[in-house]
Amino acid sequence: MGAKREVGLWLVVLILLLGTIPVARGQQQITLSYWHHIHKPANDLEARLITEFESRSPGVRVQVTLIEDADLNTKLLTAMAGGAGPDIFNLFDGFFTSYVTSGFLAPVDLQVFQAPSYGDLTSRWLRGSLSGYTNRGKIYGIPSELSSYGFWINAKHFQESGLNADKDAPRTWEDVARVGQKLARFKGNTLVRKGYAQSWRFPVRYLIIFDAMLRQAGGQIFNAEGTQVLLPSQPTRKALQTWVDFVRRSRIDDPALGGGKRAEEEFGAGLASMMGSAGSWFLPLLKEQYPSVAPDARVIPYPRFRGGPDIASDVYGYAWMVNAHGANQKAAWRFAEFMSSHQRDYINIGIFHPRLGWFDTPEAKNYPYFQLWVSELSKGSYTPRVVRLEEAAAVIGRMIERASIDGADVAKSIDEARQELQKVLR
Amino acid sequence: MDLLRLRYPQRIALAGLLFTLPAIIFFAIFFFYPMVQAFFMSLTDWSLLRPPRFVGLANYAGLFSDAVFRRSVAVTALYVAGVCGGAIPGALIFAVLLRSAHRLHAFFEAAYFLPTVVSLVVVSILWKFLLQRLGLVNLILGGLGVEPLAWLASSSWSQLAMIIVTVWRFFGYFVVLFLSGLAGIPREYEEAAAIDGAAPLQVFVKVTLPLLGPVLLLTLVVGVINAVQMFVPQYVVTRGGPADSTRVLVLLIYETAFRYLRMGEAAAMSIVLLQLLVLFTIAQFRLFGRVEPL
Repeated sequence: MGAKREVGLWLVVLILLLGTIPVARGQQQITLSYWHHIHKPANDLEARLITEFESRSPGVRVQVTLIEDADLNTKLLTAMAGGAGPDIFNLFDGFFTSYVTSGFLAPVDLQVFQAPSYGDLTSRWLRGSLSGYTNRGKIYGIPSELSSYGFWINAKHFQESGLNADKDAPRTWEDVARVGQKLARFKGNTLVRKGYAQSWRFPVRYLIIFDAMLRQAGGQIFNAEGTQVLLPSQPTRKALQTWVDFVRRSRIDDPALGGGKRAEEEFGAGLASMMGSAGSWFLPLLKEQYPSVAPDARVIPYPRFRGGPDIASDVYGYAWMVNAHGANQKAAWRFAEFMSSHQRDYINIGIFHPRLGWFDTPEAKNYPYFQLWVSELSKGSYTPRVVRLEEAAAVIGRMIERASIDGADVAKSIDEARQELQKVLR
Repeated sequence: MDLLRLRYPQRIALAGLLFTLPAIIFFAIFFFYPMVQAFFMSLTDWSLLRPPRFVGLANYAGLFSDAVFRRSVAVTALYVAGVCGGAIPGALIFAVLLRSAHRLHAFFEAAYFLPTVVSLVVVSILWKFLLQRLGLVNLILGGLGVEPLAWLASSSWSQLAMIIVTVWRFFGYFVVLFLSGLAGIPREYEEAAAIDGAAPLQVFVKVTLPLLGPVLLLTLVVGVINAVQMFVPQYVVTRGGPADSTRVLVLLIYETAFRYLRMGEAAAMSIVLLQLLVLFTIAQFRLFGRVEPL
């Protein structure tokens, strides 16, 4: 063997040996699996934060899996049930009950958060914002978002229709129908631009919006414990009739237009003049994906019923939760702690963190419509808490579609929903 | 065992058994065992999250009082009837015409079979775009003076849309089946009938169609089974909506099992579906199976 080749061989051996040093030191490589729903601005921000986290946490790597929002719960539940769930995930608060009652969630590691007690941890967040992730005195989730829907209007469409976006903006659902008729555009008998886009096809959206309208009308879908169905009722008929009338009477919405797009996508594409299915998180998305509509978009308070209580859209949130059967729970909570400590970064993508003091930061206060969002958040109720939320949401969706699309009798449709919901709660 | 001491018929039987053994083992592990498992699962209340609890026939009893299940059975029946009623006669007529078309034979063979080889998800996404309110189908209809149809946002039109998508998908496969059947019919039979003065339609009805009996039966059985098992277009295009109008039984089973984690109920639905399919297949064989093979 030539001298050069021998030196080369020794170099290779040396490099290989150097590569094993961390292992020799006993430092374990941890790969944290993290699941999050697809939302580009948040995904981009978190990719940057994860790089920072990895550089600060030697030996820890975060493997991100992004899943469509509508499918995340199904995939996550199936994976958890099969023992293959991720170490940590970011989940809609409405699903919390089913996860915690199934024993899937690990309680927050107080040591990681340097909190002597759950009470101390709670005191660091806005009052009540951790209650949605609390079960039997223990906290199981660190909030990453607190949202409620605002009402979005296209000022340019208002102007084109001879309306003033400031003076004529709807305050009640009755106004939405009236103003929407002026904004809607038809080609022959076919609606080609919606006066108001409701959210179709997505069960949890149906639930969030209908629940808010029902509460505004004076009713509720379930009792506070989520154990009893409170349909049918006069408020339910009022809320559903209002939804139906937008399609069949005032004809300001048509589920056929938009072809399965979300309401906010229709608004962004200029296919709708008003929309009430997006929170503060939509503004950066609107600017990035729909730059031609973004300058004309305005946010106003969610409509109420004329003469009804001052209740805003439902409040909902997302939180980081850790798999109780995961092998890397400590590292997972460290990751959650790191992410939640960067709450100020999230304001750039319109995501509000319910951390105490966050609402007083200049970044938050300078966010467009900040006072409106805060006011609406304080006037909304949390999305109903039931173990089988997704199934309940599908029932509400069917009820709305039967009455709005098929023209089924409103009372009959509500009664069918009552029977189906009772089965869901069993 | 000394194989040489066996008599000839026994050796033949043993050889047959050995040859078929791999297939039997495969069937037992991947088909029979899951079916038995599904049956036992159907007798339990199981959410995947907790151990199963035996509930006897409660899941079956619950199914027949469940409006969603009843609706889904009706939707499935209409869908299967629409798919088979549209695809089978259409494919048969096309195959007969194709047999006599010599010039463009190769082009048509490729054209009609293309949808069969394309991924069903791709097919579904393609049709989802075509059937939009402002999509190509409505654009063409608009050119003919027809108002745009709510293909995917009306209970009646969305059912028809799903049937159209599936017929488009199955058509080429059925044409191949019929072409192979037609290839087995000697031309002399039809020529003899024509010489005897039979009109082309009479030749087709009295000679060709009876001789195609076994192929028709096969196509019908395969068509029904395939259509019953289909749920990708409904999942991708309409997600079972609007108002359950396209929620076929297999989609409902999938959702009940994996979205709502009601495994026992989903298994009971699967068993009911299996029984319906077996009964339907037996009925088809009884009705159409008396035709003499070619």
